[in-house]
Amino acid sequence: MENEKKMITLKSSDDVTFEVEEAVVLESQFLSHLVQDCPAPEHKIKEVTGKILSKVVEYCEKHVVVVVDGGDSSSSSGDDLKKWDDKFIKEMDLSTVYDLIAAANYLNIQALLDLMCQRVADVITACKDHKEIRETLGIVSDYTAEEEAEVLKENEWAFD
Amino acid sequence: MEGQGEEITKSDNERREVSWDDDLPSDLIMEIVSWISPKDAPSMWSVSKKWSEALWSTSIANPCILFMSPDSRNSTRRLWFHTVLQNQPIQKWNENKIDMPLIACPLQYMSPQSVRGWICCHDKKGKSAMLNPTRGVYRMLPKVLELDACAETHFHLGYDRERRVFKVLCIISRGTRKGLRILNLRDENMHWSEVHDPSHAFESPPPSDHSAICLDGKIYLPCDYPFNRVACFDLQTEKFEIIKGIPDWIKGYDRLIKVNGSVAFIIRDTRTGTSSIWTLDTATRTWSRRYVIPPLPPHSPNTTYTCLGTIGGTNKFLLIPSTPLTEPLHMIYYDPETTDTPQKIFIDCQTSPPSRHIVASLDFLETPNFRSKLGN
Repeated sequence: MENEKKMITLKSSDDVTFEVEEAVVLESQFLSHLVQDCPAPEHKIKEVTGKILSKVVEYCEKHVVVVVDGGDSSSSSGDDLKKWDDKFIKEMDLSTVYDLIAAANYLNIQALLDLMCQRVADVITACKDHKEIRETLGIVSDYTAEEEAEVLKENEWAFD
Repeated sequence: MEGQGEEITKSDNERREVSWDDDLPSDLIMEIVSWISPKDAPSMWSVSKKWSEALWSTSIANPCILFMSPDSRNSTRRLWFHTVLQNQPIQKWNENKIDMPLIACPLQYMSPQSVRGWICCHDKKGKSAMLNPTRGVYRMLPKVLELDACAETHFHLGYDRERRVFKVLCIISRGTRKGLRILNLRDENMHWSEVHDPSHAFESPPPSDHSAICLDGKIYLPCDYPFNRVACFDLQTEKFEIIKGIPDWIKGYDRLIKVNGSVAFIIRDTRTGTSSIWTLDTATRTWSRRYVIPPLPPHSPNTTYTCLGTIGGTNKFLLIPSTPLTEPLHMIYYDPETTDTPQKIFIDCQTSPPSRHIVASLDFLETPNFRSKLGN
């Protein structure tokens, strides 16, 4: 009985299916509730594409394994996990990060959300000024030229 | 499954332009900005209004209590501050300790409330400085000149949200040149200009550590010692108005504080040991008694407590010892919604035992919360 792992099928908005262990699904609070409330074998997640869902599943599978194994050698597996996380985010372009933030928020996976937000913060920190931040993130400023001059002046002061 | 995933990644390889501004909800922007360190914050403000608002939003703001104690051995003043989690009693010091050189806070008096993270400190002879402990920066302000030998100065910091400008109000009591001066921190000449006060609210000098608060572009000051009126200085118009309406039987209140986003005064009843809090309804200009802080838990008879204010301008009150400490550093916390009695909370500061004389300042609500995640 213990060896028999319950499998659950997740289906993305573009009908890509992923068969995962129940423990993987429990990483997401949203999916935990969904699975509990509705014991169907397959769950369609309309808000997340296959590309993004594959990343979410990859992340959750990695993290769930470590938690199970963590009993005997937690510190080294913690380091491994951190290395894995670093690699995971390094390979990602910003538009994927963007989609993963939205997905992690929707599926309520706090650790993944934190990881992604941290990645964006790192990108922002690497920018030399506000113009580069705008360019990198594709933000169109809604300040008028006059307002912008005022804000810059205030910042100059605040930064001293 | 992996095969499927890879296939999709390949087919979706063209770069899709996403806007991190229009499409991303504010709460997710807040999640991101909470990972940015304070030193990178200024460039974030300039990015766009939405990002700037997320930075200053109250829901991520991080109220702190700042304690300061002089350290004569190293010629520094030790500043350290404690993060208060929203809706939770204060339990433990965190690691946010900064040592600031004495020159960063060279002046004896420190305002009990911060304004957008800045605290004003001053002496009585015309000198003032502003410091921002979160970012570890400070700035000396020009001296107020032409003071009589007997003149006494008090400084109050305010922020005009409409015009996005800090202003410092200086009250000169005593001497032939007593009156009011104002310094606009945007003014390139950094000139203290005179303010006309037809109300003459500050004729009688108030005690040195009287409280002032800045709220919605106005500085509120206790006036007419023993205080039974409140002076309100509008930072935009630079004009004073006197708020009356405090019942006659109140012979003098203790301090002004912010409660639930309103101006309030606190008055202690020595007979019962309780403190009453009256808040101002700005529309009707009437004061009403809203809260009563019950008698404090047992404490040594020589200790008296001052209500420093509320956490983040809410109704969670903080009182600190106002006499030299005979017990380890502690404070009193009272939340009328969750506790019946005020709680005594000891502050564990093993790394640097504070001197018996500490100064405390509260309310970093207007400081963005950069540390909550980075600190862990």
